[in-house]
Amino acid sequence: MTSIRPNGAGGVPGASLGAVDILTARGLVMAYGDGPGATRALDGVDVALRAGESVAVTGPSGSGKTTLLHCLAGVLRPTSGTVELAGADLTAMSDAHRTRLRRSAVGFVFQSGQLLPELPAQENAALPLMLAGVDRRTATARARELLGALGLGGLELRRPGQLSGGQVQRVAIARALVGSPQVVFADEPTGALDQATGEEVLGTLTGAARRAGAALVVVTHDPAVARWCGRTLAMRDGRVVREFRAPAAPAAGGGVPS
Amino acid sequence: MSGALRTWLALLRHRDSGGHLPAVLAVVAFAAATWAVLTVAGGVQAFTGRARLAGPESDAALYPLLASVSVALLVVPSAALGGAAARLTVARRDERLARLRLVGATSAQTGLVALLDAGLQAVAGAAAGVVLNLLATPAVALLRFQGRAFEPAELRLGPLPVAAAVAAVLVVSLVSCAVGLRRVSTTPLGVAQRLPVKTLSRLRVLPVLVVGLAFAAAFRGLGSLAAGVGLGAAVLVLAVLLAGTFALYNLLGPLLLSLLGRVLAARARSAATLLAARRLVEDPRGAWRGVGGIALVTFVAGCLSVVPGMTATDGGDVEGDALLRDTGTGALVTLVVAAVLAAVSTGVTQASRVLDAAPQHRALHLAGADVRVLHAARSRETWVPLLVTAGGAALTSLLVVSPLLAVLRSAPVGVLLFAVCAAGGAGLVLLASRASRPLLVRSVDLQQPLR
Ligand SMILES: Nc1ncnc2c1ncn2[C@@H]1O[C@H](COP(=O)(O)OP(=O)(O)OP(=O)(O)O)[C@@H](O)[C@H]1O
Ligand SMILES: [Mg+2]
Repeated sequence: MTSIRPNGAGGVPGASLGAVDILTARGLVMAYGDGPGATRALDGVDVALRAGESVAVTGPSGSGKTTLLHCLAGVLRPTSGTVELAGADLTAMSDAHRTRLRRSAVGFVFQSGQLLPELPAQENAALPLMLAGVDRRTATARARELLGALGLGGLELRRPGQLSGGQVQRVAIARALVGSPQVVFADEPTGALDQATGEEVLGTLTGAARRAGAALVVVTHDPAVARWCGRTLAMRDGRVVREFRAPAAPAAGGGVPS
Repeated sequence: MSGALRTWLALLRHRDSGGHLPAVLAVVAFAAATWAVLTVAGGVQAFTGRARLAGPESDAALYPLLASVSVALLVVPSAALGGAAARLTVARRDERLARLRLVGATSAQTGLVALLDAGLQAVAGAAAGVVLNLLATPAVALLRFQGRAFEPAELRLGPLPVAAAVAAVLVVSLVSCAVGLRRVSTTPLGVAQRLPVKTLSRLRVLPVLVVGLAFAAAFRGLGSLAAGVGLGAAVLVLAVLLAGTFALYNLLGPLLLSLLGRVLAARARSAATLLAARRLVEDPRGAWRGVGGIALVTFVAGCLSVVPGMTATDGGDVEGDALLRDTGTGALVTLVVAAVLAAVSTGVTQASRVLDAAPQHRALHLAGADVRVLHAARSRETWVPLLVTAGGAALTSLLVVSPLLAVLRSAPVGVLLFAVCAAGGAGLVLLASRASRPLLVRSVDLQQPLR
């Protein structure tokens, strides 16, 4: 632990607005429940994310990583503060509008359990496009192309139950990227995998997001993950307490000078 | 052993993720199954009593046999319903059972916890079914057979048959629960892993051919059979064959639905249709439980739609007329009971699927899928097989009665009556599939972050 910087409006350099910022959050507070028993899962967080940039969010269990991710993605509405995604204010939108925005601008990868077990890999990956109204042939072709690029060529017709844990996560990555999102959010995407497979999947995820030009936010317990990302935010008790750029960061978008 | 018991008691006190609805549905299912079994058993008892009074030479001797045909038609859907309810119990316990394993419970202990769960619900449901039966008996007694209504006492069952019915419901639930537990092998690490589904063998077609041939042979020999051993024995042979056909039909139905699912999946253009089709392929038996009963009874009822016409034109034999008319009434009652069973069965099956797929639905919704699309997929998954199987059954039965077209034309009310009943039954099934919508809405509630 080096210097722990007090957090607040303007306390984090990332809060400075740049022309290419794709996602900006200011003064995020998220309280679960109300009254004296309320938990402040987020306690004044500012984040700015540039197009194509990759950011790791680390911190102990219960520090608010998942909550932050869900607020940034427009899944949860914060108690106070604003989130701007692709120029639109998520916190002021109707649920239906946010759902549509998620469909077009955001991709998700979770630890496990997001693929439908009865669908073959290519249909699982094509699903977001079909949900957005793209015709099936085009959606499937795009999904197969992505699966191939992620090293799953030949496995397109297997169902999740017939794939290894690492392969399943690659299908999930393909699904997250199939709609050409501007931001991909991943919550402990390698949490259910062994060390080596986890590293591999993470390399795949960051590489694929970079090639697709999508910004990436990865929540993880594992400090080693940070070196795959351009920037790391360390959280504790609902605040971003430390922020640093990886020394050997891959050329992924511009970091923010500290 | 006592550890498992204490764990179960502790779990019982806490509501699980699905809220109260699954438990309520399971109890309703067991109650409906018990009620159906008791009601038809009461009918058999009443007709047996009347037959004993009337003597062996009268047509009354045929009624117990006809009643047992309707029992044969309803026993399998009742048992299937009990099974579906037990599976629902297992489905919503999956995750908690896996967690119990993680903290050191043996698989025997977790199994016991699940069995206690299913058993308790079965007993509660069966008790409710017995009460329901008592309450409904006066209404059922209003039905007119052999020219008169029933005395409620004729229909009321003694304690022994009631106890037997309750025991049967309990056994069915425990056996299905045990089978369900085997399919969901809860490994200590990770959540429940679903074993791959077995594909249906095409060999299922074989027994159908055999019974079909037997049926044809028996039908041809029916005249001489009736002359040789009496009409009663001939009807008994028919009843056995009918029950056999029913069992086979249950073998074939899932195969048909999985084929339908494959065809649909290949041609689906929308996400909702694709999801529905893949679910049909994944679990054709589950889909069949929802629609099979309706389809079968629609077929039987369609065949009997000529009955009003026959009794109207054929003036001579008064007792024979009554027999025909009563057969029609019996078919109608059977249709209604089957529709209720099918509706509850669909509701239960859909509820367990919603619970099973909750994490995936949530992930889809996060990725921008409207809840409307998820609803649409589920409703397609019900009405497509319903339309194909029940509609197909109706058409087939019309083909069967087509030689009697003149009779039908003289009294089209028979067709109308059965069409209305079949449509009502289908509507009930669709309604039941909507009942699990709140479960889906709850499972994609994003204010509870996915973990
Ligand atoms: N739905 C909820 N209702 C009430 N409190 C919640 C809810 N979700 C999270 N919390 C609380 O908010 C805090 C932050 O939770 P969050 O899930 O964001 O942590 P996390 O950093 O993702 O932890 P982990 O690494 O264990 O996943 C915790 O104290 C948690 O108990
Ligand atoms: Mg978390």
